[in-house]
Amino acid sequence: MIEKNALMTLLDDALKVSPADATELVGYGVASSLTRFANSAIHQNVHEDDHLIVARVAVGKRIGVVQTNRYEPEALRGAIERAVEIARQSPEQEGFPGFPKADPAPEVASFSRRTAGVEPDDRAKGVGAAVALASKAGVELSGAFRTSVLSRAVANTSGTRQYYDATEAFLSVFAVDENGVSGSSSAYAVAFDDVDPAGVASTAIDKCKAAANPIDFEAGPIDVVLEPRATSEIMEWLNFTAFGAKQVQEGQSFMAGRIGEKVMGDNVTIYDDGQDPEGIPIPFGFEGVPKRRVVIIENGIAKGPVYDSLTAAKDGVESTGHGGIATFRGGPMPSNLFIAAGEDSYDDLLSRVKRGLVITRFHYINGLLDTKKALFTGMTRDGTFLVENGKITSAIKNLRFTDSMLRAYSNVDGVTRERQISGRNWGGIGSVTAPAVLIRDFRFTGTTEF
Amino acid sequence: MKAKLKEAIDLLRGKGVAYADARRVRSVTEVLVMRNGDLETASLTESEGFGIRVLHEGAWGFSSSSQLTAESVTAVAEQALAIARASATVGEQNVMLDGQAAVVDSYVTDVGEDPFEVPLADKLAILAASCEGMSRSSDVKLATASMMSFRTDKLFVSTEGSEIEQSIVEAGGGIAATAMDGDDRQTRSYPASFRGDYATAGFEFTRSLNLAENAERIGAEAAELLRADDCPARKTALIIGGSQLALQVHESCGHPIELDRVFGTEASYAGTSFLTVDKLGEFRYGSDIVNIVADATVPGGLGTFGYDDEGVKAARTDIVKDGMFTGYLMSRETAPRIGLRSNGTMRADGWERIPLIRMTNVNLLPREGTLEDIIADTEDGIYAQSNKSWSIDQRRINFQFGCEVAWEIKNGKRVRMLKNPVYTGITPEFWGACDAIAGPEEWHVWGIPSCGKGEPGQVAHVGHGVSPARFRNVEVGVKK
Repeated sequence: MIEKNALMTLLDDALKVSPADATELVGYGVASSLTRFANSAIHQNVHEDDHLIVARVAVGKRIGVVQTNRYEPEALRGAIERAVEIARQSPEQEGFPGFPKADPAPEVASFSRRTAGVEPDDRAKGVGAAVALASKAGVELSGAFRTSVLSRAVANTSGTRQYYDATEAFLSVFAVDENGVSGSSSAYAVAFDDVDPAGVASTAIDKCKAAANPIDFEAGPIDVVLEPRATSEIMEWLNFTAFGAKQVQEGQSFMAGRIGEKVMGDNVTIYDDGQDPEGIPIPFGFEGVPKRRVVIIENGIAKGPVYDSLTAAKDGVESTGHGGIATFRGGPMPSNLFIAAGEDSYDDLLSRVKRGLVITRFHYINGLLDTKKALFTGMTRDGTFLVENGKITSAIKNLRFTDSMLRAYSNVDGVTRERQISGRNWGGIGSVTAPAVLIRDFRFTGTTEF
Repeated sequence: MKAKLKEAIDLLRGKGVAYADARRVRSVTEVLVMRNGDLETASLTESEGFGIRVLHEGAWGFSSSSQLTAESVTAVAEQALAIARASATVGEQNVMLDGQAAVVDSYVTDVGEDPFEVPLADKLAILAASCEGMSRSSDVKLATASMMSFRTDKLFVSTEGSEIEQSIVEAGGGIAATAMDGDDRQTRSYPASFRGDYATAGFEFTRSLNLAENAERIGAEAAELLRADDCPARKTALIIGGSQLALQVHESCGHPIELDRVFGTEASYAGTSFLTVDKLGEFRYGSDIVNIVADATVPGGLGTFGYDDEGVKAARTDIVKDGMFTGYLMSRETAPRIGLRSNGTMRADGWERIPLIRMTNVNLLPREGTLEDIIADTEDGIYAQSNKSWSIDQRRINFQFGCEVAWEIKNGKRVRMLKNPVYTGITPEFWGACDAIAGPEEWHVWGIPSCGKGEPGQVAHVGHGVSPARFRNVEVGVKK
């Protein structure tokens, strides 16, 4: 990765000689190492080191974009010239507001020197500790242990200059017994030392043991306690289909035409906050605009999406700093999502369940069935349990749900004080910080064989 | 660059590694997206770098860099070796590769019209005409037309003496019309949803899709869906057309036959497979008429290439023969564990990723007749096409798909359009109920440029040859 001063100088020098009317350069670097294990052995152990520069240029209101990982000055100039060539042949982009001039973003605690210095042996030791616990418990472990250093720089001809760097440490552990029954757990943090491989492994192993001998269970409506990872997985799909301004403006989001209306329960508040250290802070978006705290759902009422400069101009509001990379078509989206904590303990939620299920996490959610209703489907995995009279009484085989998340989150009857941070399931820096929730009458529609 | 990589391979050989390979990859991707006549995206993405994979003390290490200097190549080689040594410290490590002869060869996609030489204005004209055609229906509020073109140049060298150069070109596109009325929002796509259809070919393939010529029809169908009845929930005969059947093959056959997945290496993320090795040759996957092959040699298939990223020549393998499960997608590491040799399916998403077992062209072989023949032969059923949603459990048993559109079939005729069709099933039961597959005249290899797998995430370009097929007694709709 390129060091900060060298990168900013490179971007500055390239801006000075850009032949475009306006130019935005985004540099983002990643030096990432990942140790993957399965059947209690490391089977994949990789490192990558890359630095991408995205040149977005405007010729009048005609836009061209070139992304390159060649960042020698002449190569970068060549990329800008190719972007200009694309722009000149393109039609005008309606509503293009220019590249934003942004104030410096606040400093955030997103970098750990320890994480940046982690060696392959450090990750192997962590995996080894986890595997040793599994061996003692008579189960096999799979998972991944990733450490990364990331940087993001934005410079444009409107005068914006931003830079930040970050580290992340992510560990996922999946324990499986001789019958194929599984349990899992994960941890995500800025600092490597905040990830406890033995602790994560113990949770996964305990889940696996508790999930043994699952019974058949008929699909149908039933109360559920969704643990934090299950909730995070649903939120990640709502991010994709509903929480960005483009999805609202194009009528895809359930919020389209419903801002100010009650869409979920009184006890559901969802917000994005790029500065909050409880998540993985990202202080500005790919347009360099500092991220604002955006309340998306407040006490069940739809308050509004996150914006970049283009979607903000269309709605006559200010960007909230959630611009995506110019090569991405999806528009602005939250990347530091939080679901507000409640007042319950996990045991409080269980105690209020007469007959229901505990869901550890979901598999392969799809939120495209009917985006206006937030109609989702997906499978449970890694520990699905029957609760009777406030106590877990047995494990059950996995189930498919098909339900509107608006209906489901209108039936929330308990939210825990404690929240857990999860990394983004689809990769990339960012997080969802979620509590466990009790939802009444969640709709399961299918079964499987395990 | 070849000389530098060969020096690194020599260095590693000198250090006594069991095996090493190095790949340099240079890729260019052009993405053009037009929305309601506005150019939403016009981007060119260039990437170049190299990766070195080392097998030492029975364990793997891999490192990579975009820095193409001699110093960087040496450092990456040494880092890959250090990582392999770290890998060897956890668990039993005894990776063995199958025997393969060294290959010195090259492969180039057969291209009629280089997509990167076609003037941008020509491409934009097709997209603009497509948007205009879809928007002729006043109910269409979003008209999207897109194209992508890819060129990937690869160099592969190994300690076994292989030296392979490949240049692969891919192209294609698609259109989608979204009609809206209040809270109802219906989309029709052509030729396939989610980016369209792609092939290893030049721009002649993109032109052959006739996007603009189909735009008005697609817009009208989207509008018609607003007024269509909801697909009722019931068990019935289901005829699946075109790209939806391609995705059905992809999710319920393509992924579960990946032998690395079977051996558990994706267990913590994407899951495992119900097609365990004890089932090979013994398990009835589908009815007698179901024949599936994995074929990386089909001309134009999006999963077509010369050699995989372990230097193994592209091959064709029987996966399901007369309904029986007969084969896997395999690598040099996994194949020997079941007494076989790799069938050349290891591909990496760029220089910075290791190769994984990926689908090539996993094809359902055609039988006879046309789609209309199957419809005429169906007393009562549903004909569904164009994917809208997809979900399958972690062993690939329980699936649920949503489609953009369906038609109710009564007494051999389409009687009405239906919206929001969803169907669900259990994989072997579903394929066991397949009782009609249309013939070669309806067969097409659909290109899917977005198959995800692995950590860090990798995207593969894969193909699925299918012709429409009928399945009996399928649960359509969602149980209340």
